[in-house]
Order: sequence, then structure tokens, then C-alpha cells
Amino acid sequence: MREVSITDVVLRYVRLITYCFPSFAFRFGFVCCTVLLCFSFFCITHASANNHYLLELQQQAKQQQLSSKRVWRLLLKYNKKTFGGVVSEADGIDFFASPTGKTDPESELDATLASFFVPMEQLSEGKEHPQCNFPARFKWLSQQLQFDPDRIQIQHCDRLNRWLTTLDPVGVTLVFASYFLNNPASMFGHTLIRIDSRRTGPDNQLINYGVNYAAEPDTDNAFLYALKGLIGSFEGRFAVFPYYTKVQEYNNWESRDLWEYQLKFTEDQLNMMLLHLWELGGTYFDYYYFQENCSYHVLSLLEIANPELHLKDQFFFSVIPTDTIKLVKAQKGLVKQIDYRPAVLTKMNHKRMHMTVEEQQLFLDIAKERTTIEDERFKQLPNSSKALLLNAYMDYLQYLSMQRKTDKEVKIPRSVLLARSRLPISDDSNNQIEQFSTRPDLGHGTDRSQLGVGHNDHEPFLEFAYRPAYHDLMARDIGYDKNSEIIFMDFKLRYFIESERLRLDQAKFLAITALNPFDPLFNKLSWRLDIGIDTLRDHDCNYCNLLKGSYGRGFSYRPNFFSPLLLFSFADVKAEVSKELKEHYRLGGDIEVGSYYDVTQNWRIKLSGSYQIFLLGETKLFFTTQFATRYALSQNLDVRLELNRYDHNHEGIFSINYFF
Amino acid sequence: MIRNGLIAATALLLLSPVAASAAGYGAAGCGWGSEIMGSEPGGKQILAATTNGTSGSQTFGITSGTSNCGDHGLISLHKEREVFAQQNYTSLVKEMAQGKGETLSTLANLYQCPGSTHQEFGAMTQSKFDQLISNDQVTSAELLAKLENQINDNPKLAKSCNIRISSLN
Repeated sequence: MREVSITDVVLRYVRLITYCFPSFAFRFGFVCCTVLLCFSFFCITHASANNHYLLELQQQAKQQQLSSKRVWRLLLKYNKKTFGGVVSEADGIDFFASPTGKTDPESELDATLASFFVPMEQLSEGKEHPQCNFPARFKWLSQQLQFDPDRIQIQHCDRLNRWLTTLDPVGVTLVFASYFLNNPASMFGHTLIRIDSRRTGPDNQLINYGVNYAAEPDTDNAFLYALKGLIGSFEGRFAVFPYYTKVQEYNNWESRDLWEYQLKFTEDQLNMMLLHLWELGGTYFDYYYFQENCSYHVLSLLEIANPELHLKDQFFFSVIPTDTIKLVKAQKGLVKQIDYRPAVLTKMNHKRMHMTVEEQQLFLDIAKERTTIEDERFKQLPNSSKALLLNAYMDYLQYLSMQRKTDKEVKIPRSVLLARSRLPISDDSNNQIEQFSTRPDLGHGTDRSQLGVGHNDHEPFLEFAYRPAYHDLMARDIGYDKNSEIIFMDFKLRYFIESERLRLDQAKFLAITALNPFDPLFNKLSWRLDIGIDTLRDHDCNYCNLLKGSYGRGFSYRPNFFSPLLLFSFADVKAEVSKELKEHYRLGGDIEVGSYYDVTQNWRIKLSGSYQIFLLGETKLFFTTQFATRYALSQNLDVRLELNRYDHNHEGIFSINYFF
Repeated sequence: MIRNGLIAATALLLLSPVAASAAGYGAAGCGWGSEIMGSEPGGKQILAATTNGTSGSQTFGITSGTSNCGDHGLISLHKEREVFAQQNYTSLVKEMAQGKGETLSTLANLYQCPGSTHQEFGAMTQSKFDQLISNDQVTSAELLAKLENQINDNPKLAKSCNIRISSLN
């Protein structure tokens, strides 16, 4: 046994004191320490009975090197720092028992053990005992060190126990909210988890509880909002909600389909996860949009349930929700069932698809308030058609009511509800709902690297490209929104074989295209945005670069939701800057028309042509045309052929794309 | 690291999902998080639970006295039906008019009606719809009161459901 020095004892008591009087200690700092030392006599007399056992446990923990074990690192959210050492992701000070706990796992473990010995009467009023505040740590340490209940006072944690009893988990479900209707920026999706309770049973998913991790924004200013999200100055917190509030939020308000992945964990594992969640409820993390986001922290909960899972390690820079779903799906035996929960507009569109052309027209007229259900056109319909129409109309009104701020209690007029209630209950037992979105885990990876060979009017070249995110319109769209793309940091290099030159061909910093196929009910325009570096292709300037930005609106059309044909048109404004241009810039725009056609699920063809008009700076008018085709060999591999014409220059490229 | 910086620089345009998930619909909850949800369209933030200042000492369970949350931070069992009906009001009346649906079945379960009676439950709500929703201003609490009367008046449901005990089996 190691001799215990006087300084050790004093240090230990100082730690205990900070536990007893944390607000004092932090507020007045060192000046107050002297005063506090006087108080410490109380602590000493109270603690001395247990002191010996505490020292024993601390010794034992050191011998077993518990502070370097994976579970301890997970519980305290320690991450390796770049230049050695660790730092905890948790940013709330109360998350740590030791003042240096954020960076010192060992002192944290020591202080945690000490905190378990603090007598109840020494805690300030309203405070829970550390054993109850940090039940996962208590459980794990008591398992590792086999706490002797005769020598440590085990606290009764009333609130925690009632919380656990109410949640009473038999399972946990990872929930993915797919893209936001017509908003490609939401394509990244969102993940949360649902705790499936024994109490509610399998048919009552709505009243289970959902666990959500989100930023708590403190500004309405869009720019500040974006900036703060990136630099981590929002606090992210866990919250527990009835799952139906999340269903309302995503399914009905934002109209996003939900995908539910039921996971397989033992009851012990679920219990540990909840104990840990309880600990996290009291703290916050700096929220980083790309790294420490909703998906990242959801993964950390799963790792606590089963420390054998190494999920977070798989991500190098960004944690994109769909990637976490794929990763979880890839774990053997972890996902036991996948359910689809369609959004309210999905349900409505499903019904519209089952209407005749006349019914569709009548539905539209009713929705647009050009006619009412009192009209003869409606009244003469058979009951089944009336029911179908009213069901769709009620979905539509429900969606609208969520968008409008209204104090009216009944969101769907009683006359409509009453009309529906007088019709028979429709039998749609054989009418399985089509999936208007596709399973996110079946989508291609979000990173892409490309290897290509090509030829232009002068010489052959090799092409290398890489981008970290996310999805382009030529890629297979399973798991993604089929009408939009986000291309992010796409760098393309070309090596020209005869002139032996390596050139940056293109760098797409950000390109977003949202082709919102025409729907008379909502009629939203398509839009696109493109910022990046490109090659000045209508000039013969030895592959010189230009900086460009463009924004456009347009119109697109898909005959129906599942149609393989998509037509589009755009009018863009453009600005280009290059020293090869007269006055080094040109301003103008273009008009483009084109189409995508899916020959099969794996084979897509694109044809497009545009007329470029530059009126300021260097003036010029010219045509560009493109033919592109892609064949997907698997989820993560496709081959493409592209033929482009820019003014009088031509090129063809064949490429292989690998997603990961 | 270049990747890091560049992504950061252009990501400014992409942040709406955070906004959507964090500052959106005024979903109710207990304790932490209920305040982050902002105002709900329709202005009925029924569970406006607030933190009471003991922050740091406890986790999900910090609520104000006016909320429907127990001190452990989850919906009080005896409030479960009311909260559920209020939060899902539009879905509920829609499904009552249709005579079936998941929300309606969940409510039937909250009245402890066994699964075998859910069809009957749905049919009852549809056939009695004009009494359950007698005008455009019926609140969810009034709806439940009327629904309980109808359950009592229905021989099959009166026998198999239990309108007094709120929590599920």
C-alpha cells in the first residue's frame, strides 16, 4: 500500500469541498479557499468513516488502470487531442467531478469516486446526489471495483428510478428524417432515437419517447445562425420528447418521411444507455454542424449501450446522417426491422395517384377553392371516390394548417370532417403505400472519387476528382431526393498527356440544384446555384481558369412522381472572372433546357443544351450542349460517359466513380 | 485541414437543416428542450415547460409547476391522454372522420381498449362524429369528455375499455 501523505489528504479534501460548495468555490476562487478550509473540518469529520474505503477504491482503480479503459473514455466523452492527451467533448462544467476533469481522466475518476462518498446532508438544496446524477459511472465503477455496500452508502435515486420505470426499454430505434420537401439543404437528413418501452407495447410507437440532440439557437439572424452553427457557439443538448411530437414535427409540419431502424440490444445494454442519457441531460456540448451534430451524439449513445461497437471512429471529418445510418445497418445483427412512416404529403400524393384524371382535377379544384364539396360535381360521385377525395383533401388541409399560424382550434373545417364521417370506412388493406422516399442505407456513400479518361479537340487527358459530399443528379438516386443535388467541394484535376500538364479543371465549392417538378397544387419553381472555379472552355487559352458564380430559376416537369422522365429549364444570371477575359470579367446569363431519363434504375441519360449570353465585360453569345449517361454497377460504383460541346470546343470523358 | 476550412466557408449556405430541426415546430416536451422549440404554429404550446434554475443539478426532469410533466421529466401518466389528444388533435379528428388510423388506435390503447375492439372504437367515433365534434370550436379536452361518454354508452366498449385508468398496460 502506498503511504498517504498530508498533501494528498489536503488535496482530496479540497476536491471534496468543491463538491460541497461548488458555487462558492467557482465564484470566489482561490481567495475563498482559506474560508472553505475552515468549513472543511465538517467534511473531514463526516467523511472520515468512509475515507479509508475511498482511498482503497482509488488505489484499486489505479492498479486496474480504469481511467484508460474504453468505457470510462466513452462515459466522459474523452477524445484524443492532436498533440497528445485527451479532452472531453462535454462543455458543461457540472459534467465533471474534478476541476481538471475535462482533460484528466484519472483525476476525474478519483474525484468521481470521492463524490460517491459525499454525505447527502452536505449537498446544497435541490441537488441530486452524484450517485444519482451520474448513475452510469456509478454502475460501471461499482462493477469494476465491486463496491461493498456495507462500506459505501448507496443512495436511493427516486427521480431516476421513476424515469427508468416509465421508459422501461425493450428496444431502441434509430430514426432518420429524410429530406425536406423541395429543400435540398435538408437532404443531409436528421437522426434521432426512439426508446421503445415495454409499457407501451409494439402497437403504440407514437407514445414512446424520442431522444433528440439539437442545437439551442439563440438568434434568428440567418447569417449569425449559420456562423454560430459552424464554429460551435451554440449549445447542443439532449432532450426527451414523446415520439408523437417528433412525428408531428417531421411528418406533418415539414412533410418529411421517417425511416425507423429498430435495433437489437440486450436489456442490460439499454439500461446502461439510459443511465448515460440521464447523465447527458444535465450537460451540453458545443454544437458543430458537421462534426459534433445530432448523428454524432446518437452514435455515442449506441456505443455506450455496446462498447464493442466502434462507430464514431469511422468518421474522419464530417458526420452526415445518412452515413451513420449506413454504418449502423452494416453492423452485423444490429438492425432487426426497418419501418417507413410516410409524411402527410406523401400520404396525400399516394391518394392522388390512385385517382382517375377527373378525380384529380376535381381534387385540385377543391383544394384551390375553385369549387366546394357542396357542388354537384362532387355530390354525384360514388361513395368510394368521395372518400378518397376527402381523405386526400384532409391531408392537404392538415399540412396547410401546420404552415399557417392560426389560433383556430379545428384545423380542418367541420363541414369537411362531417362529410367524410358519413361515408364508409375505406378498405385499403391491400393498398400498401408506395415509398415516396427510398431507404437511406441503400444510398451511395457521400464521398466520391472519380477516375476518368477523355479527349478534347487537341489531346487526350486523364481526370481525377474527389468530393466529400454529397449527391449529384447523375448519381443513382436511391436513398436520396430524386430531383435535387448538392455538390460540395468537388475538385477535378486533369492531366493532359501530350502537353504533359496538370491543370485544375474544375472546383465546385458549392452547387445546389432543386428541380421541383411542377405540381399544380403547390407550383414551386426550380432553382439552382453554382459557385466555383472552372476552365474557360469557350476560349483556347491553354486550359486557363475562371472564377464563376451563377443563380437561376426554372421550371421542371415530371409526368408523375414515379415517372422516369424529368424535363427541366432554367434561366440563370452569371458572373465570371478571369484574366483571359477582356476587362477580366463578363456578366450575363443563360437559358438551358434539358431532360433526364431513367432507362432502368441503374441507367440514366441526360441531354441538355444552353445558350450563353454575356453582355457586360467581354461580350459573347454561344451554345453549349451535353450528353451524359451513367450506369450503376452497384450501390457505390458507377461508370459514366459525357460528351460536351462548348462553343466550338468538344470533349468526351469516360469515368468510373466510387462512393464511400 | 484545407478541406475543413473550405467546407466551413461554403457551408454557410447549408445550415437550414439545423434551423429546421432545432427551431421549428413547437413540440412539447418536459424539461430541457421544450424551450428550444419556439412557438408552434397555431399557438398552442401546451407543455411550455421551463427550467427552474437548478440547472446543473439534474437532467431531463426540470419543469415548471404548470406543465404536464412529472418531476422525473416525462409526461405524468394521469395526463397522458390529455396531452396526447391535444398534441395530435388534427390527426385525431381526421382519423375519427375516417373511422380508423394509428393515432386513433393509440388513443384507444390509452383507454385500455384491447386491440380486438379498435375497429369498433373507430366505427363508433365515425358514427358519432357529429356529436363528438359538435362545432368548429371543440377543444381536445371537450372531445375527450364527449368520447368518454360515448365509450360508456357503447355496450361493447364500455365493457372492454377503461376510461379511468390512464396508463397503458
